[in-house]
Amino acid sequence: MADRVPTWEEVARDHGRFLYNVAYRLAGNDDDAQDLVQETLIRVRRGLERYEPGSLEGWLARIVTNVFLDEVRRRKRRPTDALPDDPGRVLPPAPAADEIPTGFSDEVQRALGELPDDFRVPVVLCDVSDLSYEQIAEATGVPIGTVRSRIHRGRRLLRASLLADGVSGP
Amino acid sequence: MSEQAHELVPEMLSAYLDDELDASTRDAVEARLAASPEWRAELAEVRAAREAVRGLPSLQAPDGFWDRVFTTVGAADDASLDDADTPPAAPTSLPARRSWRRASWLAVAAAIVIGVVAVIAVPHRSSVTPNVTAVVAQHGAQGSDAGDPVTMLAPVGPLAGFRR
Repeated sequence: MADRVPTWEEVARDHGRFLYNVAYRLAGNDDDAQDLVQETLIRVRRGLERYEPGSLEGWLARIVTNVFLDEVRRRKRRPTDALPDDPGRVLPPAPAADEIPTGFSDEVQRALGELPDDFRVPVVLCDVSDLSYEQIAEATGVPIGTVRSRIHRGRRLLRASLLADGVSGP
Repeated sequence: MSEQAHELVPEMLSAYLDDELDASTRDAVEARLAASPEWRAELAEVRAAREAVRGLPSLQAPDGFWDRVFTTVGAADDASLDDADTPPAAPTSLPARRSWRRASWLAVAAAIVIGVVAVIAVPHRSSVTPNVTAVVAQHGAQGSDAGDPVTMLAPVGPLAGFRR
């Protein structure tokens, strides 16, 4: 994108799908993902004047992550709603996918949802958002060494969860 | 600072897969991989997990979602957008915002239904519709040549049903 600061409508139109996918993989369900995207775009509209052209998707990923973590903290204070890592949670059907799923999408999403937030967030930002470790460190406010450690441990936990589900390969 | 100075630890394997190591550390990790079956096994584990997540399909939001987002975000109170420290007018928790959003849509839908019903049900004024039969008769009676079809069409007085 050129150096011009986009409008929030352009952000929604050009990067909405990216936002929705990151939100869905963080939240684990469509309803929460929709709310995360909407709240993210409200914050985008509010903060566009301060946006400095650069990695727009890195900036968006940081906002959606903050919205998600704000909501996680709020729910932990008032645990009336199921959290993504609630083991008793039943995931609703996944929304429409453009591509034919690899065959283990539901299992992988469930394994992602079982990861503690501290591990799920950097794994999603790395493997769904395709952010660098440095961008993830900025987005989550933790040192880059911690990002590296959490991604690795998150992947190991996810792999163990998949193996426990009988999924031996992607 | 080069990471070569640090002790090699298995968590570097994910950074290795993600190309997040400097060249000297990458070489050191590869040397360790060549020598250690445990490291190779762990690399295979994290590689499988990485590919599983990266292989997840790209999802589409449900039909109508983006229309609702444009309406809702576009209608957000401008005053609340001017200052990032000012809480938005809508509730800030997602469930509360979800209820608020759905209530807003219901209100919009109700307004549309009421408007449509009003248009259909409320009687319209009929006095603005000219009485065509009377107009033609008036032309016939007042025209200079009642047999001339062109003259028959010319307005010669106020339209029937209207007053000066």
